[in-house]
Amino acid sequence: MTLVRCALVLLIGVAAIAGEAALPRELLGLPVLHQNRVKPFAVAADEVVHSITGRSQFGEVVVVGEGADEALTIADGSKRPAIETLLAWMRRPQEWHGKRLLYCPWLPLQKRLGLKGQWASLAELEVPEAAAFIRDARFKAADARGKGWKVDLTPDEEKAIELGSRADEARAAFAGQAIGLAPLATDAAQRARVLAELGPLLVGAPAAADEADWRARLRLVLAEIERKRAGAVAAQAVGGATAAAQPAPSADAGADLLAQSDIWLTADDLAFTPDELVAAWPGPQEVALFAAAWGEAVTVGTDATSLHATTLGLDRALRSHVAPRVEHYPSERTIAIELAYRRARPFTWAWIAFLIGGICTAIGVAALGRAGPRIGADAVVGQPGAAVADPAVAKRANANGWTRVGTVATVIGILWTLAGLGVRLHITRFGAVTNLYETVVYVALLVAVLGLVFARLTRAPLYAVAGGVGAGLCAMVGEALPPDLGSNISQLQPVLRSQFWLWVHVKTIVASYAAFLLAMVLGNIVLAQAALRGGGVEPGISRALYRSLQVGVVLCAAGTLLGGMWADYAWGRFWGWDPKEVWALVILLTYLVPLHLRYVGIVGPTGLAAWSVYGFMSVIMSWYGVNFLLGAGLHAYAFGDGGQWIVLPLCAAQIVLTTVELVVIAVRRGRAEPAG
Amino acid sequence: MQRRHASGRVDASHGARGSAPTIPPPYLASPVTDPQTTPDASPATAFVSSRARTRDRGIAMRVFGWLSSVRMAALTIATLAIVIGVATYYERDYGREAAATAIYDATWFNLIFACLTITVFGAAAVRWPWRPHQYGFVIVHLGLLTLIAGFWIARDRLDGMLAAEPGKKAHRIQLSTDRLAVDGGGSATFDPLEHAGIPSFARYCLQLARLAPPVEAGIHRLPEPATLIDDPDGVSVRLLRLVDTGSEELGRVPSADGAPAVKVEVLARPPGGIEASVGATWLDFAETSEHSFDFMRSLPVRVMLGRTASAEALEDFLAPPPVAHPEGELAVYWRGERRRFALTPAALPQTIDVADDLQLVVDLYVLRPRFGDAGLSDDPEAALDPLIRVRVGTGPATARAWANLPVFARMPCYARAILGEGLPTLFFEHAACYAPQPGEQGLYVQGLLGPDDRLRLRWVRASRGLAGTALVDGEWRGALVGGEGDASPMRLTLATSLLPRAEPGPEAVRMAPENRSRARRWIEVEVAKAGASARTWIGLYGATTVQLPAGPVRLTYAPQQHDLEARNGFAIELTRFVEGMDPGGLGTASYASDVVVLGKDGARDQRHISMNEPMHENGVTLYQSSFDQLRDEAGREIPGAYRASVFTAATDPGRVLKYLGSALLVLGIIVMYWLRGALARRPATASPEKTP
Repeated sequence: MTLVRCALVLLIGVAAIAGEAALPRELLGLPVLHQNRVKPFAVAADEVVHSITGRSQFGEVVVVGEGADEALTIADGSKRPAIETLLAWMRRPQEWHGKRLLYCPWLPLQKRLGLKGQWASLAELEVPEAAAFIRDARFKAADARGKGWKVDLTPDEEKAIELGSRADEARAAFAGQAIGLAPLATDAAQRARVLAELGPLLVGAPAAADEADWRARLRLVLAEIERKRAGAVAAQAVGGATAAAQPAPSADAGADLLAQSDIWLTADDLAFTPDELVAAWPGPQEVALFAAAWGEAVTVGTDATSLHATTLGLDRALRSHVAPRVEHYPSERTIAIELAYRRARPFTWAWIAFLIGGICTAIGVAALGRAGPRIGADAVVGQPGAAVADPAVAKRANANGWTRVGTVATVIGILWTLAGLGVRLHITRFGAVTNLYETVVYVALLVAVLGLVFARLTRAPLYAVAGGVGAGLCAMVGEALPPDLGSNISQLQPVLRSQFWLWVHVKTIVASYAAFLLAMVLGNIVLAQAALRGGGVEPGISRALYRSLQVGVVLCAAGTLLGGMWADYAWGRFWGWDPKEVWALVILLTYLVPLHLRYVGIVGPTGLAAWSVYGFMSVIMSWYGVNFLLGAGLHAYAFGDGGQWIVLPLCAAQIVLTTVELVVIAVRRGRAEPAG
Repeated sequence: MQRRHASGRVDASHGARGSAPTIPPPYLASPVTDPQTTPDASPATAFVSSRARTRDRGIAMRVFGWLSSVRMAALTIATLAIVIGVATYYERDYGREAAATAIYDATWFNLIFACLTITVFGAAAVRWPWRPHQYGFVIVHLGLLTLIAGFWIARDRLDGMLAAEPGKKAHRIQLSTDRLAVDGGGSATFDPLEHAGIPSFARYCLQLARLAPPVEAGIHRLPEPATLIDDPDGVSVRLLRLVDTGSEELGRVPSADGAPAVKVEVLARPPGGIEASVGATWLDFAETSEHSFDFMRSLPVRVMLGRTASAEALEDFLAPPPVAHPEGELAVYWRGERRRFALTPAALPQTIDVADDLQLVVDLYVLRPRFGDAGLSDDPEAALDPLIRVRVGTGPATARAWANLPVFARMPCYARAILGEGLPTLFFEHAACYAPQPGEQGLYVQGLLGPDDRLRLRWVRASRGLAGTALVDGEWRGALVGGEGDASPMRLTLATSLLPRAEPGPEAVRMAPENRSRARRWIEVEVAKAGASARTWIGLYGATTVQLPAGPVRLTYAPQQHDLEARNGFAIELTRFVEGMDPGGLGTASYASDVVVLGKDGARDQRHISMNEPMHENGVTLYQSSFDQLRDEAGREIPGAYRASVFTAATDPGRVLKYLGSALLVLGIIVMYWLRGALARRPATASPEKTP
């Protein structure tokens, strides 16, 4: 809770997102269900719009250029906040049907479907050839998946399936079906009445395999209840023994099923085009009434006052009737916190702060280097009373000033990150380090902290430089990740819902990544220095590296073993050679090699620096590769849509750079370094 | 580098082991390391290599020293890292079970671990007696040994799946090995993947380097038959072939000495819809040579196959000469000659003398046949499908052998076994075969197999006449309706694959590795009893009876099971399974089962099992693993409906050691890295320098 308070303090005074000021605050914070989580309407809108258009702020797509240079772009000044875009879609779906909005960045598919650029309209996808291509690709994938076969899709087909889902999402969004407002039946009495009164109205062949349509799902549920009853009756008819073995059809069985399938009514069902069934629905009519009024205010686009009033009414109605019956329905405070988090974008500020911190410290260190002793573990920063009469004192003071600014900036970054993670923890109620994005942010945080702590303990400011730069780069990567990889807050995998293990295991193992990242950045810095200056890496600096690696190895070993214990506890085996387990072990083994070879002198300071850099490739493989290179590898194009065209070249560039540096060092030394 | 060691300590270790000469080691003067690189350059805590410590010992000790050296450790660690890194790719491509069989459970892989164990042990052992600064290192190595021991003890631990259906007693845990049993005879358990032809690790490395083509799923013939059951007095069983992911039912597979077979599949694509298979079947040229795909009332697809040795018949089949006679003609191919005779339905029976040794009598002519209770009749309401019945007399006029042969115009060579050697090939050529017949419906696919092992295909749409032909050599796929130049909005596609020599066998299916268990595993075994033997295929969960001269032998093939009730004294019964949902009911939040533990003495004990909340009973732990969801007829999952709750059942005798080892390992690393300085300072000889 302290974290949350800190967060709130930090978030105060942050400017609202442009264009949203005109909308009532209640509308932004209206709790809606989207992707299995009840969240503020503004957040849901962000996610819906980004998922469909690939942009969080969207507007009119216009054609620029002519002939071969023709391209699509969003017209200047037409960009609107996501919530306005979503409202515009719901108000005038017919108009938007012909407008370009479905994100399709894959060029070959654009050509194949005859698109002009990176956005397609629903109308363009309804051209028979385009529709057939998407439909066939989807069927091929679904058919193979249904049969359990290997899915062999061409990249075009994969992207066509993505585009097809965007089109579905867009249709749902237009119809107001993308967001849910209230559960269909919430308590046992209501469920019983639904089954008794509305069952007969709904029974029939399920209309479509569209799971998201609550009518289809309700039909399936009712059909299953019927099937169970029939089975039980048949069993009773067979004879006493069989009937005794079969549990009697309990009156609660149907209600159980209905509760489990937890069907929610969408904005469309409740607000925009209220359904006959909904009118007959058991339960408080207040929600339906306010929803209908709200729907009218939203779609017709009445004045702000009435929108404000109806939203407020709906919010109240939901809070009094729905909230008590839904587990973890967000409180008004939680909604406010999430909205503040969304506006504040703490992680964006954090990476800027980290980078400023790293750069300032670097300037300080460089200035200090020019002023006197060489940079490294032996360099003493800010020692009081040192060399008073020295003419370099002024320079040094200046350098120390830079370093201090850097430290302050890094600390600010740390606080921002802590605040952001605290808020996410508050919202998800779980460990806050649960997906790629959160691990990236968490690693950035720890790199910065480790850098500062080491710098303080050893008085080697280089640590702070590496910490700031490493954290900045890392947090930048997090910022650049697509939102569906984690910056959107989503529900956890069932198996991960164990607060204790999530904290103990995940935080430990990911912390080891931070130590290795620190070593990697340090390694890069010292190798570059050594290559520029000539001669090998200094032993003093090597010791700093060694310290980081030690921390990393301890955390990695502990994290891996804790993971084993969790796996033993949850899955019944300590070790199962699962790829993620294996790659954690590979990291450990990778770093153990130089730590051992160091004893016999095969790996020297330069070798250790090089290994810190090369070894980090194993961390990247475990952290990113297992999920995005291996995990997506069920089809012929093993490299799925996981940003591998950025990550792999970066890794290659890093390897080449380090190798070049090593060669330069070896040449300048006049003799080859054994490990390099 | 000037380093002096308390060599007495080293010697003392030798002394303690009982056999060492106490020679001042010459290595002490040799610089082993670069002074700058060693973490601790102080004499008392400096590093002395294992090889140096055993340099002047016997050959065994020197080998031991070499095995426990740091270089060896680094080599082993690096090897292990590379191997398991590649193994994750193996697992991606071939699945977890295959990776376990080919790598993790393989002898060579365990040898790497054995090597590691020796290295770990040796590195600590040669440094006896340990000095304070080595405590961390020793604890780490002790922890590693404890961990490895934990895994070693648990190598045969129970690890299987237990599916519990509501209201039924569940006690049979399914293991990953298979069991083949002879009724009243022996049984054998084996790891099926050892015989499934999955690539070895070395082969897989070649595949990754693109030096070898990838091994695909298929029927794997064992290089040497594996003896499963060896009972000289009873039934012996040898494993010949295995297909890990096979079809549910037996199909046909190529064989050296079989009969031809054709797989026919019809795919339909409705207007604006997607292409989907409407059916597939195997046809041979003996028992089944005809199949009707009645998926659409307006357009039934009939496939008919025949074979002939006559080159002329094959020629005419693909390019039929015009039918001159309105009532149709009988084309006779006999001894390299083709003859055509006009049919006269008005004057039946019509006798045709083809040659000295061949006489034909046409005694029935029906244009629109209907097969009713009263037999064959000509019904004006029935579909146009001209048919004649021909009595075929072969041999000299004095000693004729007669055979009755129905000949359909739309099925020119109704080839059963009777159409073998010594009988003519007969085509009933009728204009209805080739010319459009307005108002008629139906699609007739006719195939004729020649002696060249190639299948001639032609298809006739009743409303349009002869629509196309094809020559099939192996696989063929083409549009019957709605192809190029055909305006029909509906598309029907025919896919055929011809096996000139085939025998019954399972067809391999390319499953995604994680869905292996959704396909069926088949084994081909050779069953021998009293000197006679026979081969047969058996699918997993199946049974088959083999007829041998010494009597029938019944075999059953199923996964090996561990009987919880018999072995551990309890069973469970599922009361209720609940899939907790996130709001909206589309995301799973939790799986939980309520079960009753049924004890030996009739005790009933209510328990709850959910993810992260296992149940322990009599040394066996049950973990919620997954559940079998019920599906409706269309294969869609029914929300909230389940068939069974699935648990992992496991024991782990090495658990204590694993946890202890883990704790020691982490403790040791911490001691080694951060308390080493403090420990090293304790003896008087310690260096004053701060250690890291």
